[in-house]
Amino acid sequence: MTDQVIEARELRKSFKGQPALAGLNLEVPAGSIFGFLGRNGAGKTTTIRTLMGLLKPDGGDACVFGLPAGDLTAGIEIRRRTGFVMEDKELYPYMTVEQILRFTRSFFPAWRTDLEKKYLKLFDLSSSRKIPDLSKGMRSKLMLLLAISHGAELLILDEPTEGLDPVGVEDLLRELVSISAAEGSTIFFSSHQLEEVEQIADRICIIDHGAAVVTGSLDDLKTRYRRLRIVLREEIPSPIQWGMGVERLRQHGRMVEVLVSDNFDTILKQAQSLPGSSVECFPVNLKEIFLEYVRSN
Amino acid sequence: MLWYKNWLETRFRIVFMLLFAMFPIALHTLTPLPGGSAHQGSAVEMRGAVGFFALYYSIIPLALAGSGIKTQSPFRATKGLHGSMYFTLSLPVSRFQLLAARVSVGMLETILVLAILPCAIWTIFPPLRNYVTGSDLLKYWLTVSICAFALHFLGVLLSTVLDDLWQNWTSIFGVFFLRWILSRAPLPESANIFRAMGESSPLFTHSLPWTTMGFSLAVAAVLFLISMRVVERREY
Repeated sequence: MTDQVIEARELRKSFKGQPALAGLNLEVPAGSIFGFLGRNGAGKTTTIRTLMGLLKPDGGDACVFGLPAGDLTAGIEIRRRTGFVMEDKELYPYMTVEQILRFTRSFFPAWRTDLEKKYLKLFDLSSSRKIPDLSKGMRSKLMLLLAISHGAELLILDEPTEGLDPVGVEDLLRELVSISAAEGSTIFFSSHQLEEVEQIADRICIIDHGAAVVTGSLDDLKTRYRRLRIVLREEIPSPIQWGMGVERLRQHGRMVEVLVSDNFDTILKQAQSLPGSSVECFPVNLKEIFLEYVRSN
Repeated sequence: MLWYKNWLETRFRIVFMLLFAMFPIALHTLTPLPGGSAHQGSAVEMRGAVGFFALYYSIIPLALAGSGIKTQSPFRATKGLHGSMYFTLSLPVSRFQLLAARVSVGMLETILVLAILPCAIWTIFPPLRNYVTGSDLLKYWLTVSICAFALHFLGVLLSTVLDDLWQNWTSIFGVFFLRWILSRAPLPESANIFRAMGESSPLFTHSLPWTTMGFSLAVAAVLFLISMRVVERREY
């Protein structure tokens, strides 16, 4: 049995000749909190819809729980084990909170009434309220409650914090970590909010133009990536030949900035050996890694 | 629970269709013509009028049709478009189940609303009362309901590819176009469901048009299968 809850190999999808996914490779380990990052139009929602069986890929394959995502029969089993919160967070406008709970509960024999009650109270959702009367943030919370309460092994969340106020965001992020720890659920979420991803994710993938540009453990990435700022005594007439491990290089006059992902000690020694240079080393946060990759891609 | 969801989704639609169905009765009752009913004359002469009524009521099965995937919410003008379709598609049920549940509710609602048609005929065409029995009216209701299934499943197929606004207008246009085609195409008389609901209905023949009903059910089955294929293959 695979340890990867989600696997995608060379996933391709185009809409009217425009590629949305261009050979995406993705692996999401069981029990992880996986952040899926990208610009608008990078392919995040297309990936999620493909995993949920709403779109059929033009090439490659995608599996959830080892089951083919595009298969109609396997899709039912996938959805039985997956909680899904879509980006637009729309529910049936003719139902109340109580009605949608009753409706959704009927599809999941393993429904967790304890979690339902807990999150109704925590999210301050009144059972008698009609869904159209809920704010967008409250609908987000209700959708998350529906996803969590059916005992899902995997939560796929598309922009889960959109519409939430800062307190709501903090509550939600805390609960996602708690769910992952207590229930062992895998959480796969897409977001633009890099600070939020950095706060809770243990693995990330940055997608750009339909392909993964960076994937790995967040701690490893932040340890591996460092920035060197080198100020030279005078401009060097010819470009510096750096060793392996330099991801990005910017040179403005006498100042050189180097983003290093590997072989840091060697690069540092090389920087320090440059004539009259002063070298400063900075840690790199997720936002900087993200911006470096998507801007230059 | 899918039936429950479909009922909640369509309950205002069925109220509107009941009002639509009762409108001719109300009109006839509230605006009596001098000298009594305008519909004097023999039962045979009423065939054309009954045929027109059947056409009016043909809108009902189309208006009550849906595929169970996209949300058909009432009062959308104040609520905006609905993405709750993705919530529906995230449930652990097959698209066939979603379609079948919605179609089942739609068919039951159609049969219920069409029960008003015999009442309307009875009210608006008094000369027919000497000519038809209660059994004829029941046969008429059964005939209209079965013949309406072909139209209902046409509406279901349209709902799998068109949004509500286009579905409704295409349905209305489709009814008139179909009636025109069936009256002119070189098809057997038994294929004309509009005739079976109107001029050749059990009100006048006193018997069930089994062949036409069978044809309607066959057409409905084919349209359902096509709808199922569309729904299963569509990307959302």
